[in-house]
Amino acid sequence: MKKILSIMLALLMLSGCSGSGEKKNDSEGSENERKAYEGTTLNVLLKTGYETEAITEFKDDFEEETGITLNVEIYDEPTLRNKFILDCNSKQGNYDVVATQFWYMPEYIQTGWLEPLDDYNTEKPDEEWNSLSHVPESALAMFRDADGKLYSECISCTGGVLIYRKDLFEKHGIEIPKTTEDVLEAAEILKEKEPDIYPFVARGDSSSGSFGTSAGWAWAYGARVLDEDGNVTCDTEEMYEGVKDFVTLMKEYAPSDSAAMGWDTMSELFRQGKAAMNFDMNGFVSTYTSEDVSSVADQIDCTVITGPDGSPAQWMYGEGLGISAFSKNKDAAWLFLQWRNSLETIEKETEAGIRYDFPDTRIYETESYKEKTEKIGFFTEKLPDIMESIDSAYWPATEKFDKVAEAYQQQISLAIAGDQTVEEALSNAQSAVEGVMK
Amino acid sequence: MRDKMFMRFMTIPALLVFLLMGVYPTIQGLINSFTSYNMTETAEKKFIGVDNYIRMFTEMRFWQALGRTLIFVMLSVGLSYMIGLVIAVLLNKINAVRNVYRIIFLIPMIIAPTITALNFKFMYNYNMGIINFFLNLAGIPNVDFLGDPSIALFSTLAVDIWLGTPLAILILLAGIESQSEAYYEAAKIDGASEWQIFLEITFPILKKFSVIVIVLRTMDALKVYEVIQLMTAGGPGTSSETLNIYISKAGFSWFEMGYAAALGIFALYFIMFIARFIINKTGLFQSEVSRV
Repeated sequence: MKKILSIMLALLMLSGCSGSGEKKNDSEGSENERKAYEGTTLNVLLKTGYETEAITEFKDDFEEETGITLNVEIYDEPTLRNKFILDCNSKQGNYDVVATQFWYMPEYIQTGWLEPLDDYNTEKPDEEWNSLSHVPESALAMFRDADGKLYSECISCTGGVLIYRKDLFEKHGIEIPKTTEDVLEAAEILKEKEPDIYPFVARGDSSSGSFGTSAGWAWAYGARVLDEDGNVTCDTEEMYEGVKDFVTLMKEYAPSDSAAMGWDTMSELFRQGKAAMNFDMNGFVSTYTSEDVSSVADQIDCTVITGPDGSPAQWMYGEGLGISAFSKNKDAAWLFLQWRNSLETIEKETEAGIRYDFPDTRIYETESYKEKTEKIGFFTEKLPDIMESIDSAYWPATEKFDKVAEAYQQQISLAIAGDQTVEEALSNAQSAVEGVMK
Repeated sequence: MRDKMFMRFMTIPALLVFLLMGVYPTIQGLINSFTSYNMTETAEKKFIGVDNYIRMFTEMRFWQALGRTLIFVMLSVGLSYMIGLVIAVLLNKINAVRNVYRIIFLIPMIIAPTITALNFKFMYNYNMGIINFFLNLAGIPNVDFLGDPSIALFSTLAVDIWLGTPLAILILLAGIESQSEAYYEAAKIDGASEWQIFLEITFPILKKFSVIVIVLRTMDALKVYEVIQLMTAGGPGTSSETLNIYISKAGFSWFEMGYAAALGIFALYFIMFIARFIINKTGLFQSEVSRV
């Protein structure tokens, strides 16, 4: 009997020592609160891209500081979304932190798959790492619901720019494009003067990932796929004018396989010096100016362009980090989110040359940033204007975004391939998107 | 009696695996096909009868995907069989370094389809691909293999043929080598030409092996997914979207599991129908006696 009691007592003591991953002992109050989750393993689901590099590059620092182990999985966007949705449907909570693309936020919020962050920010901010108050509301708005609740920390926010080879423009005395019309004129001149270089490259494949290019270009003409009431407006006159010019650029001044071109092949061409202009998100400037991966690093400049409507052509993109609603380590996950977006981490990103555009505006005032970005001052001084030009009104904020974007972009891609006229493409897009929204 | 009981007992693990991995998912898929199951919606899935099937049969995209699948299968099976037959006949005639040639022709079988698809995607690249490089050397302008809607499907077809022909070679070569040399010697003595020998002796004897090749290649071609998904993802537009790609899109891009299940059930019965048709027409599983 005594033996049994002793064994039971020992077992009780052992079970009392095991940690759950959450804050172990509030009443004791650890000297270093960052160590409160020591021993926890966080499963982090990330997307390929420069936003992820800082995590993989500096995760040892976080692990040393907090004692939390990061188990990072990196996938392309469709696979990431796939894994997250499957995990949420099974309610297993296999992932604690997930990279969230702003265009999926309506879907994730509606389904309740992400943990609201406002209470964490109010009650558990890390004094040094927390940066939410330094991120512009325009960046945070992409990750809020209709009631204003925040569901992700914004780690990257970009707008649309025309990136161009300033050396070629100077060589041929071409004015820096300010409007969509200027881009077409410049393309015509470059086609004649530089026959071995494509005047223009952009995404043209039929995936939803290329929607931002054609729809963003069309916004400069006052066109949008869904209006403010959610009605489908693909076949308006403004949309026709915008898409006509875009398809002209892609058919006559871009590579012949533009209808199959995604961001990777587009970027590859530009980095190799085979293209003169690229319309896409400003995040690519960091890549094109990196001597490690670009052969034209010293020959780049960028500008915001407007259309006949006076509106700036868009390529809005925001990526965040959210906490899964099914995570069993939410407090530890919140600490990780704060570290990722901390001034300390983004300074390291700048120093390592990973990227130079951040939603946290404090970085732009630091001496280290100014020193490091001296060579690309042309870009960093334009960042405020680029951020100012972002207008989310053009983006179809619907949980059916993926299907809407694909239905629209498939038709544009076929027009670029020459399989149908622009009129046919927009008529088909109108029907297809209406079918999705039904 | 005890032996029979023992044999039955030993089949239980295999039966369990078949039930769990084959029967249960099929039944679950069938049930889901009658529901509104969508993984991105909070509403509970509900029974909707045959709505998914009505949607499927009234959707032009489905019929287009099915049409492309049939074209893909017929061309892939036909061409890989014919190429495989020619190579098997030639390999049979080579005596010197025969095994070296065999290994070379069987290499596609040992490379994972995923790796093959990614490599061909690079080789097909319009600007930097090696195929266009050689075409340029021959004076032919660049071809947009994966970006031209009129040829994208056929570009992926070529890769599937490259992957599937070794199987045809293997089976047909085994068939040729199993034939008695006496037939050929007698034909040569009688003055038959090579072409006559092939038509009158080799080809008829290879009938059963040919049927096996056609059945296996048809099953493989109907299942093709990763080659097309990695190279074109069904694009440009939907020009290379086969039924499998469409099912994948419905299930894993749109997460409309009910509809994807309906598509999957259709695909299952479609494949079974084709397999049954081929087997019945060719008498594959009938003995020689019963066929007579």
